[in-house]
Amino acid sequence: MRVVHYVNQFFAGIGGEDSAGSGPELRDGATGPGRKLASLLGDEHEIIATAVCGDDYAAAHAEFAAELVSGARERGAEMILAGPAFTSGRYGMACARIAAAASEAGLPALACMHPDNPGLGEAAGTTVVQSGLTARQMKDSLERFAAAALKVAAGEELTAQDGRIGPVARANRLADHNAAERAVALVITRLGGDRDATEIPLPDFDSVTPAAPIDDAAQALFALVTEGGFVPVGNPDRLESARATKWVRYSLDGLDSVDEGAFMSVHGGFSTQWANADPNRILPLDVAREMERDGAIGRLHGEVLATTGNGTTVADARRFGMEWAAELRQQNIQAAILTAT
Amino acid sequence: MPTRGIPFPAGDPELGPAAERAWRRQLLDRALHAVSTQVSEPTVFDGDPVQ
Repeated sequence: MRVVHYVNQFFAGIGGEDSAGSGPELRDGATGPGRKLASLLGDEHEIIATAVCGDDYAAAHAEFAAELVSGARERGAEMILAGPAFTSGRYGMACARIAAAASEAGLPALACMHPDNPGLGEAAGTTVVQSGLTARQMKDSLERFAAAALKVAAGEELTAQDGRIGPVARANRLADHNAAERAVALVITRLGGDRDATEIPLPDFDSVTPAAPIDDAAQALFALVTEGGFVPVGNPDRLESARATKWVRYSLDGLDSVDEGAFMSVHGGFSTQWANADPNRILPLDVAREMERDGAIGRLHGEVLATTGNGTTVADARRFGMEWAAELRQQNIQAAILTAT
Repeated sequence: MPTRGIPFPAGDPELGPAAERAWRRQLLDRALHAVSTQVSEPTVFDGDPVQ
């Protein structure tokens, strides 16, 4: 098969965090870990090109995936592989998005990352195989990745034994044994020490490592962000009042406060009468400007990022968070104050 | 940081305008303290920083 392999800017040799904003591109042949992967895939498969994108760019521009998959198809790709991303969140999300976009386009696809990678939540509709925790486990990870890729190329379904992780679409099938027999077998398996054996894997919620504290608030660039459904009056971008699928951004330049009649909340989970009477109760711009003037903070970012946190799915919320973090990092912001309703 | 009500995370409509604004300032001062503090797990900031 003709294979296109996705890696981030770091593994493509473009650079580290300073290059995380670099855009999507396709390069001829295998690059970085793709060289070893190509040799493990054997003579029947060839990595014809490497798809590359910076992690921040990929997190902030979801369309990078469809763009790269379309470019890969034009080059005759028959399968897409992405990673291994280990526990790198933005890279893992990018790999999941690439594999999902490839699956949607009808190409066999496989991503590789650690089970704790937050990008795994984006992998619905595609297949992910387990990598090690860090690039120190590159060799083992590539071996498992290549073995799984060969199965995918052969049209076989991956199982937990192959290292498959992440959401698995549930499909009806006829079991060899009835429910009572399977239940007893599962109890015996669990008594035998496998505490996680199950026929129905449940979602796994990750934990977040806190960021390091800022050194000096008086020098730092701050952003105000909120899930309070904060929008200009009229809600020009039609932000949802519940089950938000997107976030929005509005300029705060030249504003000393957010006033009644100019901004409002469209949150559907509480009465917005107090927020609409004084939107500073949702977004504390008046006091933040005062702190900017009196030197308590260095400077306030010129835009508010907002969404509605009301019945939002964990997958969407995780995506918003990663996109916000990438956006704020690109703007060199050191701290964000998030008002939550 | 706990606040005083879901519909007004950065305010308190029970207070008069000046007192509400002072409360908002107090909250943001507490926020500056929180982001300047090393934490290793979920941590509640409900007291005011020692100046």
